[in-house]
Amino acid sequence: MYTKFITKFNVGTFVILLTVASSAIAQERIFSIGYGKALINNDSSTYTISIDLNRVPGSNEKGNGYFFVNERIDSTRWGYYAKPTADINLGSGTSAAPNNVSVGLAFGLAYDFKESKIGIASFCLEMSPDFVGDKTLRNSLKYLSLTPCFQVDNTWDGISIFLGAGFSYSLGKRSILDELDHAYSRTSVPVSMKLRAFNFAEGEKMRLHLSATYKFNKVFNDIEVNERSFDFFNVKTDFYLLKNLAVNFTYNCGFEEPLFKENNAFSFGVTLAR
Amino acid sequence: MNLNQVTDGVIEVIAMNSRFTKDEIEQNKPLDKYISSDMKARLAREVKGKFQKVKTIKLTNELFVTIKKVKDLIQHVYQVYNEV
Repeated sequence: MYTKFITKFNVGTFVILLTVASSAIAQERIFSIGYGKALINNDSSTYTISIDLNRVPGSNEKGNGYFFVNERIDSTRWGYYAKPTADINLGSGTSAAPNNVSVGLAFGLAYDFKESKIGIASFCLEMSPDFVGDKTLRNSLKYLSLTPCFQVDNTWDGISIFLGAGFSYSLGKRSILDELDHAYSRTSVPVSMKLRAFNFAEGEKMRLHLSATYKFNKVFNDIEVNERSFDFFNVKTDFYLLKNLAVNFTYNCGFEEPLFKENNAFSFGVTLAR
Repeated sequence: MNLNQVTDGVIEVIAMNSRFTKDEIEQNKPLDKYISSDMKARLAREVKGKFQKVKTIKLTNELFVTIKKVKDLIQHVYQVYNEV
């Protein structure tokens, strides 16, 4: 049992570290360390470290971070890209975050619309192998997801707003330690919003980043859950007091992969960025 | 390609991918004022469309790290066209 666990843990750890290392090269938000509190049970005050690379939980951050490939197709408005994504939450508690390890490698096609009245818009069609695990990696999901999405961005003097919406279909397996793999499939509808406010009269010091994500999951095939429909909501803010230093607040509510256990928790802490 | 040509071209691409006109874009201002980070990958592809010699993947990743201001992007493209 322990050999199997250690082998699985090492493989998982290697993949995670590889993704983190390649992503961290160009990551705006490197990591956050802080204190968390789950609101469902009265027992859980936790200390957390989160590493977010290219990802808002429940939705891919299409625009951020490190890319392996990002090319334009000749003189068309089509492009293609490949980039790693990761969202890793460590600490004394697992309840402040819906999942504890989430990594992927997204391959995408993008169509960049010309500027219009609605803003700067792009359409993306993304395929990604993903790994989503709990803290111990004893219960994890491995699947391939296909996600068409639409995103629009508007930037004015001192504020920018980004809206994204998509539809995702995933097909793969659930792995539980000491058990045979089980089939897993789901669809989800992620909707995300990001707001950035900044005051360049103060240099680059004063910035506020706020992101909110709503995700509806419809699980078709999974041994782990009896329910089939799950909602998840996440709000994350970073208020930059210095160029590389911010205080942050995160709130998670709802049910999310891999365990789909009820989550209702907040955490706050310090963000180190670059 | 001289610096003025590169400057005009880069500012034109930024204007095409933002709510700002060419006249409103200042070289000394942070790029974030005109292009949000979610659109930087798109900006790199658009710069490649205008300046064929630019290596998109290098530009994309530097847009998130070293290229902070409009003038940094201009310098990046200018150096590509004027490497010894």
